[in-house]
Amino acid sequence: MSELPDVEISVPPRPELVALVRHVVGATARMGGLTPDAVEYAKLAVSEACTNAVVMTARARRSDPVNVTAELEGDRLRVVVTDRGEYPEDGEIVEEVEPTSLDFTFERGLSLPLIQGLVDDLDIAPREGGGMVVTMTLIEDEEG
Amino acid sequence: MNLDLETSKKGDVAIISLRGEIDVYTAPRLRQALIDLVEGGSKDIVVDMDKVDFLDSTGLGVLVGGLKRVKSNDGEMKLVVTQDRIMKIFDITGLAKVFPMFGSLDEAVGQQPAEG
Repeated sequence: MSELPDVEISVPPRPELVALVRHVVGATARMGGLTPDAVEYAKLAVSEACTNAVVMTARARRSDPVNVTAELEGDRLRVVVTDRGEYPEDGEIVEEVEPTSLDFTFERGLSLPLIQGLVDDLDIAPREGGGMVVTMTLIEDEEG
Repeated sequence: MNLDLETSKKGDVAIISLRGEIDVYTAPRLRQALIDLVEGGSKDIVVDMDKVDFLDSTGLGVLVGGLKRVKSNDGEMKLVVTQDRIMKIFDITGLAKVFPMFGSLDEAVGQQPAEG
């Protein structure tokens, strides 16, 4: 993977801008030499985290931007999504889901299992002053 | 980013052909299309995702919502999924077991219940 400077993007918390964020992260991953599949998984993971950030910021009735950084370090891509959203208790996105049942409330509940299935490392922590910091790391797989 | 959505019919089966990206911004259009079809009298619906470049959990949510709606109307909802990347999303979330999945539109439309 080639050396690239870190990329940072900050967007207003609006649904139509989630696509912009994922394409920036996708382009960064591609320039860093990740396989096409890994690029797609990075796009999906950041999209999930960013969608959650947008929804939770709207819930808080705030307009603070969602910040996303993408850092390439050797064979790994680290993406950090930061928001000022309003999260109930320990964070709604960690609720348990049973996707095989059709009777669960899952629109956001599916997001976490999806991110977990895509990235190699995931850390979700409350942000000082309100909001959340989601850190996701994808490690390049030689086999793609 | 864009989602193109086209509806058509083959016999009694309604088909929604999608092209582009399904995310938090575009998924409401798919939700509305599914609602319109069911309310317009369509029982069996096939969603063709052959040309979908991107699908996230919001899109999955809309598909499950559509499946519930179709089932409560005694219909069937089938998906055409041809790309490994899209299939992986259904696998990770366990939804591959929930939807009848087909590798082509012809297969999906052809395998209707024997009766009728």
